[in-house]
Amino acid sequence: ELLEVLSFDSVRRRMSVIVRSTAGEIYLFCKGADSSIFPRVIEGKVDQIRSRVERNAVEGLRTLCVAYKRLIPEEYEGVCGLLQAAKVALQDREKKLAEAYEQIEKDLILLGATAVEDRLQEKAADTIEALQKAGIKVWVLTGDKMETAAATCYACRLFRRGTQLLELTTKRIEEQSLHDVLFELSKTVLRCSGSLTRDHFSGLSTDMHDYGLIIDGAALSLIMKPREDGSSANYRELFLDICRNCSAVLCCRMAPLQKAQIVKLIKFSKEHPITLAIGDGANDVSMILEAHVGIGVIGKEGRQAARNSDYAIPKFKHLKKMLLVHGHFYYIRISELVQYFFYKNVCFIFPQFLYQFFCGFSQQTLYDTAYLTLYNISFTSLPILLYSLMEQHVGVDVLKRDPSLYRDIAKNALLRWRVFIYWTFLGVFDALVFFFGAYFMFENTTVTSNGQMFGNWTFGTLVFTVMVFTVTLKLALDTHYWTWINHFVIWGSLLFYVVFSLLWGGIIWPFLSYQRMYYVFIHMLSCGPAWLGILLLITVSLLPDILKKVLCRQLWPTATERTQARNQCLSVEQPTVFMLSQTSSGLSF
Amino acid sequence: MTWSATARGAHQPDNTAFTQQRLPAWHPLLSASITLPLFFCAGLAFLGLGLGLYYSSNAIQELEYDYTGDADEGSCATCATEDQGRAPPPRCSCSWYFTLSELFPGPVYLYYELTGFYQNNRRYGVSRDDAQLSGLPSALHHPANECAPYQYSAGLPVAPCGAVANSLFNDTFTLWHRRQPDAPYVEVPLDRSAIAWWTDYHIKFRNPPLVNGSLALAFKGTAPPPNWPVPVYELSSDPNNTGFVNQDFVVWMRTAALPTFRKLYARIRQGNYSAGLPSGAYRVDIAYNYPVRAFGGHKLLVFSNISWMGGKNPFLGIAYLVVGSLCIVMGFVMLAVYIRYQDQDDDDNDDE
Repeated sequence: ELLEVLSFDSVRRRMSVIVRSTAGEIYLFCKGADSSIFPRVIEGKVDQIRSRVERNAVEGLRTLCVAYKRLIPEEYEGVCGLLQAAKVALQDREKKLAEAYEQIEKDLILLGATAVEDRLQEKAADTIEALQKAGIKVWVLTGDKMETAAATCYACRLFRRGTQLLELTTKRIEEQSLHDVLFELSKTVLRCSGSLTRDHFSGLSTDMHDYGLIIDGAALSLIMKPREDGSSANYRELFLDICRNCSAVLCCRMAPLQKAQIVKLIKFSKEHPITLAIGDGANDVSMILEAHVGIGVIGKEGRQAARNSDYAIPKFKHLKKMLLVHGHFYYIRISELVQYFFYKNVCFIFPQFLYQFFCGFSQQTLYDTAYLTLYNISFTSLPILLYSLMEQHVGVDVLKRDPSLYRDIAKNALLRWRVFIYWTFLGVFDALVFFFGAYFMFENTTVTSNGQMFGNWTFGTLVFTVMVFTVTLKLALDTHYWTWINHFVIWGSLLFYVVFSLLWGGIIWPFLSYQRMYYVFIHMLSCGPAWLGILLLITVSLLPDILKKVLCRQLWPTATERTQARNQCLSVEQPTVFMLSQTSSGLSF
Repeated sequence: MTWSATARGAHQPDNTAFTQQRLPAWHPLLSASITLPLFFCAGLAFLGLGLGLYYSSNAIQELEYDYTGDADEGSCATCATEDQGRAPPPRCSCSWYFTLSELFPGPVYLYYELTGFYQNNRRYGVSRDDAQLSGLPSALHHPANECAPYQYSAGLPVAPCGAVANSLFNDTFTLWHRRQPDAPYVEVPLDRSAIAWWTDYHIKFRNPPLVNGSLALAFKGTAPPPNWPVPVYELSSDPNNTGFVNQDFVVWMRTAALPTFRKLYARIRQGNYSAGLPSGAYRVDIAYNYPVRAFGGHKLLVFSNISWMGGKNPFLGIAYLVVGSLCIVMGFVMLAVYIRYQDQDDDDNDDE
């Protein structure tokens, strides 16, 4: 018969039940992590069981210890009273309950230990290896013991055979002071930093200087503890320095709040990396909420993590496709969208700005109001919209096969200042070409074969036509994945522009109070030099970009470009050997 | 609720080529093997075009004369110094004498050019009423508000209203020619027809419907713009070329793009002069009416002949030549880079 339940909490890492047997005796059974049970045990084969537990941990099994104690009825009454008082306390209920549990769970007799084989989820090792190849730093934050966690990390290939393990554990800190340990470790890693190809915050190293750091929760709290002499900032810096040079970090015995703490520490470190936290249990929720991107694995341990996450996936292995394929595609698409929008609007507005110098700064528009309104809505919106929905600069299987392509977009590479300035420079150059090309063509003389002169609306329409064609063809040059939809929107937009212009200028629209555009477009197209001018200006505008693309592809190809150039030959993906299933709470950035 | 990997949930998207982005696609690559021949072809084509355009433009002849009278030379200087501030300024006429040593091949076009005149000023450009100019009787008597202050004059609606119409260019030119020094001057016929866009004077600009067959009666109850010496129905003696469809008026109403602009005045292609202007002495009689000195502008007279690509403008030819040669130069640069890195690439590929 169940009398009381002293529920589990992650701080004291154990739980107990009080039962009454059929014979009427009252027992207290307690189970929990070995570090929280062993101190309370007064009897039992402690040493034997301790060594057995350690052996199990090294093999990668999750261990629990079980102990019991017999309660005489008066003791039980006292226990009941304590628990009751604590449960109904109006203030500090948590504290009073903790104290009560502390008092009740002592002088236990050790029963034994259990070991559970918690299998790795399918393809977990493959995923972690792919992420590391992609330049993403993978950290594992777990509540398990150090030995268990280390064994799991070896199993999922986070630590390889050549990885040199550095320990920042309580054991070492007891031997030396925290300061000495940190110093020693940082000297070890920084000694070899010069030989590594400097690639900040990437886990790359194909040579033997491959470091892995193991830190446990107690050591972390020592590092994070605020000190009076202000040296805690130094410890944090030192710690982060060490982490930067390690290819993988394992944090064991982490309380859930500590997981969030470490995410925060990294988020606000010098490089401000983007952090992603993935977990499946309720103890991962705080870290999922803290990281930039939180992913919950819908698993057997309930849906707390999934409910609190930004994205929920059914299995850990889906993270690989999510980041390396979908993430990569979305980044390419979004960055092109942003840059292209600024570019096409610079092309649009800059000639208007330049025109002010030639119209007495009277705010005369270069283009007709219909063109002004419809440029961003009808003439140039669909192509970029469909580009940002459909573009695949390399194939899906290539991205999955070759995770190192992800490095090409690391650190927000496509939205940096340099790239933005290139696009803006291109926009300004194009605008100058449009405007001054038309200016010198129209300057003073007629361009028709019958001697008639064009007016300012023809001038503006010429600039506008060149502009619409140039920005659309620029997008066509950037598109690598031409489906029928892309053809439809790009050529369709251009066709729509021509048809609209013909209709707009071909009819005297009764609702218009002005008829300035009447016949302007058609008359412009009826003269030879206008066609030649349009052709020339479009070519000159696109020339720098084509040159840059071809030369950069030849001289300084990125890994993505090399892959695009290589003959695409189909290859079968190697099946991984692991068929185990388990989740490991991990943090990667 | 258990989540099953195999059961098809209500929210699971379709597994079609469109929704899963597996549409058949073309993967073009801007590689050297495609762009090199393209660059060379384009370069050669542009060079050819550029040469053609340049020589075509070079063959065009132009003759221009600044008759503002600024530099105190020529007979127009006297007209310039007269009281130009008054509107309308006093009538004055001057002449320009020039000689042609050889035939100026025709058909010859006569333009007037203005500098410093911002017809593209916004406030100026909106000051017109296109409804009135299309012949709507209601708009004739109720000009649009944009025309203000040239909307009503002495209580009567202005036809045509607006600043653009009011500033109509009113200098007139006549051309006289004599072959021998002692022969009398013969007038060269100036063809003043079809100098505006056909669609403009046939469709966009229409006179209001005639009243009792008279255009003057159609404009009854309106006043001419303040700076005009004559009302709009007396712009020309030719009944087909007067009123709103007067060619000079229509040409002027097409606002120019830049502050220095030309407008077509006449073509010389009739009678003895259809082949061009033969050699000899010429005189242009100018009725100097238009006051440009007030804003520091200039008035010029331009004789020009036209080719298939318009007037004398070397820009297009030169631009094509430059771009063509740039293309060819860049083609060679890329060829050099390609050849050099081709060897390197082959080594890389062999190492892999």
